[in-house]
Amino acid sequence: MLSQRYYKELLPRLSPQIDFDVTRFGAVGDGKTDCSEAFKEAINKCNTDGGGRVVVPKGIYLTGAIHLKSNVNLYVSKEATIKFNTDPKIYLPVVFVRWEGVECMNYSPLIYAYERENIAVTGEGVLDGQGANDKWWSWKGKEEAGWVAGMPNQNAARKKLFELGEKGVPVAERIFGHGFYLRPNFFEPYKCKNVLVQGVKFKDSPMWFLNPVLCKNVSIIGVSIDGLGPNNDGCDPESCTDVLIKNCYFNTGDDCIAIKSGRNNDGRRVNVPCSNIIVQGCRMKNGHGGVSIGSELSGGIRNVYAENDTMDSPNLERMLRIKTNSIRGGVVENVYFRNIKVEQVADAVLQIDFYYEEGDAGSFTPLVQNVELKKIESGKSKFAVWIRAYDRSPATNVHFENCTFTNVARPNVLENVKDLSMINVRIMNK
Amino acid sequence: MNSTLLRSFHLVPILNFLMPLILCAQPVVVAPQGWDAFPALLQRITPPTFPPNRF
Repeated sequence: MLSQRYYKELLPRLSPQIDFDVTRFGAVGDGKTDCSEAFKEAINKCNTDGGGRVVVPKGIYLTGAIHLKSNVNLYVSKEATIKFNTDPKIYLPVVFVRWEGVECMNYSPLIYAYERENIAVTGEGVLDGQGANDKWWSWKGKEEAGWVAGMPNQNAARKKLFELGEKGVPVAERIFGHGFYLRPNFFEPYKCKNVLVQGVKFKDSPMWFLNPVLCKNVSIIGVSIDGLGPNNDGCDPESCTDVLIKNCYFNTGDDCIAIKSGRNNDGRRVNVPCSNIIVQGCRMKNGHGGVSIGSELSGGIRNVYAENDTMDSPNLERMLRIKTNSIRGGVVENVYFRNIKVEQVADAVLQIDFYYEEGDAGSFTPLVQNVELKKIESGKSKFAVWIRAYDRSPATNVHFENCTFTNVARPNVLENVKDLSMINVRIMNK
Repeated sequence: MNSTLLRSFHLVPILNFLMPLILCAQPVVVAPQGWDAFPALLQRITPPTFPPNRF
């Protein structure tokens, strides 16, 4: 009896690692065979046995959506690639997600988890979303993304979703999916605790890459993100608490990192801020913003730390961008950056914009306070600082210390800024 | 003598009122701000293990 219990219960608990190879569950790494069922069975077995690694060995594995369960680490080995099917119907039935900051029922993200604990995607392999102008990206409705007149696009559904969010229609009745053309994100853990993404390479997401929503204790370490498609944000923690983004590489078609907390009335309904975010030792190449805050920030953002990051592409537009308006509202406070090297940015090193998209057209006045930048070195930019806030809500307590901005083309734009301080700051036009 | 004195100055009800407040009083702790709060946050974020450590 004791030995039986030992092998069944105690040994797994003592083992440092328990592996569930997907090929034992029918997966074939030939790039053609649909491995969806094999992934599902391996994950179920791993979960029911108390947890471990679902191992993807060398090879190319084609699959649909992967739904993680508690205590499962999806391990993608070196020389292994998971290719995600580009047939949208594979990602049905719809699941509970946030889409551009509004909760709804939509296509499953390529990797998804809902109310799970201890989940991970790790390894040295590749996760390929296969987004391209003829797959997913044309739904954006922009010609540069492959859309031509007569093709379907997301515009009508996006507008409808935002209307449903404003009206407070129950999420269960906000059903999208097939026929609505709202692209799924790559990895979206929802209401999860203890999430790890480590070592793997993500490429060509249909929409955003990593979007943990309402999660606690999230570690994203040594991950490479490469995708220049429309809305290809790198990592968007949304209404999360305690997030570490460390030693990651971003080459993205939109913001490298965008910290969010829901959009407009739907963000205020959920009302969970994004707080305690660390961005450490990352390299940002292409992207609109190295670190952006918003524009979906209606639940508030606080306690953001960034240090020892490098931004070194001519295509990067801003180092830190806080974007909101009086429809989004939101409180942004306690944003601290230090030891950041910016080779060049096309626009401003720091931008705080209260006139993003709809501008000052609502009744939810945003508040931005306590922004501190220390030891920032920028080699080239149009502006060093560009801040436009409201007279009734100035950007407050913005502090620069030991910063050098060289090759700055234009003078600072400072509209409604209160308690701006600069200590040992050099802004030079050469 | 002492008890008479105490009663005469109404100290007993005063002490009865003050003692719970004194005993419950906590020292005022100011939460660290800015980068001073950073080390504790960094230490708090810990990746999960697989299988989870149940001990």
